Amino acid sequence: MMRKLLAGLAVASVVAVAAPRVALAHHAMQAEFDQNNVVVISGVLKKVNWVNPHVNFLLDVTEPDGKVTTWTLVHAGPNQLRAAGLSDRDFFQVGKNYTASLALARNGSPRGYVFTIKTPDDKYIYLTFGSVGSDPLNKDGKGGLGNGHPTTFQN
Amino acid sequence: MTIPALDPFIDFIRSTRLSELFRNQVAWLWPLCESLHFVGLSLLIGAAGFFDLRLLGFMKGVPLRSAKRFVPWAMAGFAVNLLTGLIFFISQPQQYATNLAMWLKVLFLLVAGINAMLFETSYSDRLMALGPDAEMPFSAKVIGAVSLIAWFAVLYFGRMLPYLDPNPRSGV
Amino acid sequence: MQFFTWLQDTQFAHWVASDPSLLAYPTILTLHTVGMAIVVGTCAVVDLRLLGIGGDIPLAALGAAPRLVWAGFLINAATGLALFTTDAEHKATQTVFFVKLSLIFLALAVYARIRKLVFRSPAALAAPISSEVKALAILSLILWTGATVAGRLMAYLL
Repeated sequence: MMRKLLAGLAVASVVAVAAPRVALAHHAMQAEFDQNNVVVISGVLKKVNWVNPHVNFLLDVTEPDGKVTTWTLVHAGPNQLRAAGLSDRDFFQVGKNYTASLALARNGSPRGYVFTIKTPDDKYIYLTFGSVGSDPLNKDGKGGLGNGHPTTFQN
Repeated sequence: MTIPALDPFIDFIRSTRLSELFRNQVAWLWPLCESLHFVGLSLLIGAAGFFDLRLLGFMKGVPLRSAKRFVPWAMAGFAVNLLTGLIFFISQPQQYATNLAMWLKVLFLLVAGINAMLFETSYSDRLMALGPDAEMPFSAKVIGAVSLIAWFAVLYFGRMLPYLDPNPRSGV
Repeated sequence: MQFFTWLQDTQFAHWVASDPSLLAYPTILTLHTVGMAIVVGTCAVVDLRLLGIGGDIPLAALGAAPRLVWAGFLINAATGLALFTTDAEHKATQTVFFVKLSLIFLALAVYARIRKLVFRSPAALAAPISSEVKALAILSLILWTGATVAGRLMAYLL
């Protein structure tokens, strides 16, 4: 099951292995997610769950064989993301295409802690404090929430 | 809160080998420490609470000296929480150092500590000498009340750490 | 399962999970911790006393303990239900959550048994503490520790 998922993602993903670790700022995340196993996925934004304790985004990813898997992208609490200026109701557009880099859940489920999101209009939102190197969508380690606001860049 | 002056301190802590060890080598360290932290706080609040309630005048008939037998257990709970708390802080100093909830938690820890020291140095002997059925003097009740309030405030601000001062930098 | 999906989508559940007010999720969660400290703390003190700590404290002095345990339990039943609604679908099948509930149930059953054996009459209160009661006190400490740990692990185990 896990192998099939990874095979399906191989077309659209870059897996960073031995690179300098991405800093998982959130303590508890290391227990659930493997920061040394970062993948990139693309799909249609199905839903934004703006909930405590962790905001999560549901992304419908279509694999090469046509099967659609709903991925759960997890991040911080709604208050943190609100303080970062991401809480506008229309900010994330359901139905549109998003690409995201995420640290995979250790238990093999289609789930990950999201580092960087590329929006439908090609802007990058760097969500994690101190990402360097092993985030394929943020190779230059552009400052994320560490600067107080998520940084958005054109390409 | 943003306290730029603390950035070098935060970065220094994160750069230590101990910090890196805690963060990266043991995926289960955090859940383990959190679990111990919750057990510790329950023991602390129960045992200290028992002594504080006696100081407040409840449970007449119980000699204060006997009630004080529970204080070492409260201290054991506190010790567990101090140790696990240090592990949290060393692993992820940026989550705490500029967090208003953390500052308020530390403030009430100091209140609880100073209150306890005040009891030990200035009131303990006198109060221990009272008979088990004697009315507790006002000073005892104040000390008991301050202690109870302070420990619950520590709990409150601790639990509110992810919520009270949402700082994206904290990454909580 | 449909019931849990419905529960998760109620206005109440949404308010608890998503309302920006500190009085919603953060306060409910904190009160849950307060209730836990009261229940576990009180039972721990009773258990320690039964095991001999503060041995000259008359057992009758612990008469208020059941009221504290009951108060803490009510706080946690209410806040627990509120928290459950926010993630009902998932929690309805979460193993560690059921482990937690079971441990709480067992711990309360042990507590009820201790009360029956020790606190039911002045004669029982005055009697020396039997080894059965001491064993129950140890069991109680283990069960409450287990319940506390299970509760914390809910954030980490699927």
